[in-house]
Amino acid sequence: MKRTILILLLILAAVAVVSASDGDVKRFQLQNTFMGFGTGSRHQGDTHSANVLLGLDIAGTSMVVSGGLGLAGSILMYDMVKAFMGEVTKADIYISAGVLGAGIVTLIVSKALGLSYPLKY
Amino acid sequence: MKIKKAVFIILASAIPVLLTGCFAINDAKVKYAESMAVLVVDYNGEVIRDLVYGDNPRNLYDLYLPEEVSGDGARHLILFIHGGSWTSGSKEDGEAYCRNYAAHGYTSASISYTLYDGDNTPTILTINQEVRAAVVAIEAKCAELGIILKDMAVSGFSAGACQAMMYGFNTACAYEDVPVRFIIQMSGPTSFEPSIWRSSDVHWAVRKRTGLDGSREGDAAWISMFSGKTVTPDMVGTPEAEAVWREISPYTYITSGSVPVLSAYGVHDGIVPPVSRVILEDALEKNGVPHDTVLMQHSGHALVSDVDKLREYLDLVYRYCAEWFPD
Repeated sequence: MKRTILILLLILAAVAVVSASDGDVKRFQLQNTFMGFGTGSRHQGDTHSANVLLGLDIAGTSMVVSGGLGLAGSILMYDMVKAFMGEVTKADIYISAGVLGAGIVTLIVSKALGLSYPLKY
Repeated sequence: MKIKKAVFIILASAIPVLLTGCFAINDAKVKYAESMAVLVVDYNGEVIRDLVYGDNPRNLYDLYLPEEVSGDGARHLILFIHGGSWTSGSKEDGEAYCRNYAAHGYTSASISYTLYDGDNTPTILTINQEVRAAVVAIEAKCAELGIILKDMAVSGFSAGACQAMMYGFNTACAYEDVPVRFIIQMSGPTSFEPSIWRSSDVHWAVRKRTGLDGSREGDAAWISMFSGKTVTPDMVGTPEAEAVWREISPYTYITSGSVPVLSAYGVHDGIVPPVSRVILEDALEKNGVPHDTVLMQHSGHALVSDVDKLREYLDLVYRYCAEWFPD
């Protein structure tokens, strides 16, 4: 419940920031948010911010993909090993979950910066 | 430079995918090694390998003689039947157990038997005949070596445990000259009733492999494969089909005259339905047959995650030997 409220608040804050912006800035913000990889900032001419967003989005996406796949694989593997051998360490699951979580946080930070950079430039 | 960084980030973040299951598998390997170490004993007896007991290429056994072949213990045979879902495994799988038994003064043997493959379609009952043939051959070989076998215990793991129970309980098949005094079984299936193998306690990959998808065709194929008898989908659920799966289910042979049973099961076993243990214990209790079960709280099918319980199980094996092998 708390998590849902937090996500809704974040979305509302993002909508509020975008709504309050000028036409062009709004376009760059939406591009940074939905197209990602610093597309909006690059169109705006803010190369430095675009590179930062590009790096964050690549890292975040990679971590979400590999963490997600790793988590699914680890759970399947754990399940199989447990059925035959018994209880074993869950380290693989924790590592994958950690990478997935870090990826999600990285993408959230990237999106937040993607909204703020066009305002500052 | 940026491309290099991006490649590095992608590769670094791919590590969890590459590591999937590595820690779990390594942990399992360590636990397996620790458990096997429990079985290791100082044994200097003679091992005679690859002796033949039948016409099938897999009708081979290894004989482990106690150091003191003239001792009383040598007249008691402990036979080991390997597991492997009737599709894999070999007599070598029983080596650690057989060496342990022989080191304690008992004559021991581990057999291979016909497996399901493209050319062979053995059944629970035909393998039971192979076990009998092995016992006959072992008795003759021992006599040749100056050991007159008096009786035996039959042991096994998983599929081998099922066969051990079939041989021990189904007295109609047993070789009278070397009577079975007790059964030692680990993770053995006790019933082939299709519905229990469809249980969610059985790992989904195993359920997929069994072909038991809930259809009558799946059930019919399952019963037919293990029994060697033709069961059609129309027969599933009828007394006729029930009679067939009961014929290959060890627990149905238990009577008040059955031999004692020492069992071990893993709580997390996802290969054999956990209800197998309950079915067996119910039948043994109902018939007043002495039995003990070592329940391994952290183990799966392979029983390798409870070293202390494995020691307890081995202690019980020798207590059974002392109690049920007459002097």
